Amino acid sequence: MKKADIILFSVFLLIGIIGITIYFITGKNAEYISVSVDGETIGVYSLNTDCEIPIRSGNGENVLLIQNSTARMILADCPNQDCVLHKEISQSNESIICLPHKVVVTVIKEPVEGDLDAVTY
Amino acid sequence: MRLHTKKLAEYACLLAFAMIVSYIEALIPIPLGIPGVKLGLANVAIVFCLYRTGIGGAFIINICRVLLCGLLFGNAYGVLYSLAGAVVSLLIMVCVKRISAFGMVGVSIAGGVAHNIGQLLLALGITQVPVLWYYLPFLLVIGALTGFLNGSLANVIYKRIAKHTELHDNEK
Repeated sequence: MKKADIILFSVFLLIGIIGITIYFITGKNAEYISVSVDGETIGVYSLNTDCEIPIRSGNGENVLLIQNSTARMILADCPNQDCVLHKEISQSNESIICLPHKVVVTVIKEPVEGDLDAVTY
Repeated sequence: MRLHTKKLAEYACLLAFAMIVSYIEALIPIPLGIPGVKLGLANVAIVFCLYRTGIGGAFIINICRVLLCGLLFGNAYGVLYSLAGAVVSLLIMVCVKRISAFGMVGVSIAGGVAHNIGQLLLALGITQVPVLWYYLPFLLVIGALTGFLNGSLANVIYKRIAKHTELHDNEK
């Protein structure tokens, strides 16, 4: 192994660890779940109210479950099921992505999001 | 003709190796709760190719692997995702390889990180949700670690095989 290899490895590791530290420091006290389809936010939900949220997009259907202040995808009618296998999320900016349906579920701190059409609590 | 056959056999072996490790990896999930996180052992074959057969061989084997594995074990989205990672990763590895200060491990680390960033860019493009950038630090760490492991493996395999064959010398 060459010296430059070790430097490259250390640089990536260092930047990554700094980033992760910042992520965890800023990631607390998140209370809302934002659901977006095709890059457009279609709804914001409180993490403290248990509920099931059906997400219907032009591409297919997903069902999101909010329970015990965490959110997870419980159903997706796509073949790869990656979002269903994803662990539950509760930290700020953590997200579950359903690529085939272009659905992104993200944990956010504040419910205000500019040009929102509808906000549900 | 003799050389051509030899080359073909070598490419076939490397492709088979890349496909087998891709398949085995798909069977063993890494319990991080995020689907798709894997060692990327196929990159051992790609880094190896890059040094042994050159850019052309690495490119052909990589594309064939992604398409064949996608058809056999995956789906269309998997292929799209793998392809984004594979192409970006290979381009970066070719560039890094040209810098003589870097060895096989460095090339592999750069490739691992580039692979993850390529996939992140595709996910960003498809979903249009900028919040995905928060994954970047995790992807850097995972990419560097897996790249380091794969590069070290490729390095060992390359040296051992070089010791036992003169195949490459014949081609030159």
